[in-house]
Amino acid sequence: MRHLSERALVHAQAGLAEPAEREHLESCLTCTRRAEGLMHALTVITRALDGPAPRPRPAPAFRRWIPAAALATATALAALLWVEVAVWRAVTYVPPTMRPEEARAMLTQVSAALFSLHGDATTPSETSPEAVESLVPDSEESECTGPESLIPSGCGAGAS
Amino acid sequence: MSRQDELGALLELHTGRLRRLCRLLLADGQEAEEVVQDVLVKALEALQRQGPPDDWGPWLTRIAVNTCRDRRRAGWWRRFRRWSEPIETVPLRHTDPTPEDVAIGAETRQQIWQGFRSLPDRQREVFVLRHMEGLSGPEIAEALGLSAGSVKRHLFRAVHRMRETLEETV
Repeated sequence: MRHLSERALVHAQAGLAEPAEREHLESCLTCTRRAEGLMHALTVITRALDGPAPRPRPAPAFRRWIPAAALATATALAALLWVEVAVWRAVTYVPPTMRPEEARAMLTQVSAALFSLHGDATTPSETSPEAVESLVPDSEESECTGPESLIPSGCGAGAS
Repeated sequence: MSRQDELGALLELHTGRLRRLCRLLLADGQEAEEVVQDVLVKALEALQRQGPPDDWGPWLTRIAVNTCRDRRRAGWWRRFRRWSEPIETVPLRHTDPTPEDVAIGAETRQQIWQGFRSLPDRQREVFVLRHMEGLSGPEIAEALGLSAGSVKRHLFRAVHRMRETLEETV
């Protein structure tokens, strides 16, 4: 025979059991005794709760310090974070900020070094459109000069 | 007797029960006194708005349960402070044992109350309404807005924990 679970006994005690569970409880001596034990426990509990509520025991001393400890921890963490950031800023090299005219001059020099035709850095005046045009060889001249095997036929006698 | 007097007498009739219910739900007699006043005020306001209920008992129970819930939600800091009071500031009680103390034992009673206070709110509500107020399962379900299955589940857990507390004490 399968006896009632504790859950079923609690439900039966509260009048919430299923009909089959009630029938079993009426016919089973073991379950009836268990139900009586539960009933006795509930009687003690309800009688204790029926009286005036005893004042809760004062919390242990450490509990009184919980808010202060939490505040101290938060402050310490904030201070640690601030120190960390300050130290990081102190040890990290930050290049000085350039003024616009300095940046322009540096970029001009870089540009001149990159685009010089003869290996020498050109000055800004030399990189004017006229200067650039004078430095670029004439297209026809460039096609008709060089080794004979590479000269196209259109250059003709005038070229040679 | 005027209608106002009838109403007053009716509320007076239920006040004792409501006081006990609030004391159990809040597990604090002092706070329960304040909450009962709130319950009565809310009941009068609801009466003016909606008219008298069909059944006064469950209606007032529902208002009391909801008011206690509001109080629990709002008063966590005050309770924390009160529980944290150093022992010197706790008012002294008379040392004569009450009849309940004699029957059960002061230590057992203290332990049972401690276990009861540690129950989750919902379990405490279901336990009180069933075993202290004597409401049936469907009545509890209606008062707390729960399903019948939830009522059974909460009731079993509450009884199981309270029994464990009692067995530990004994």
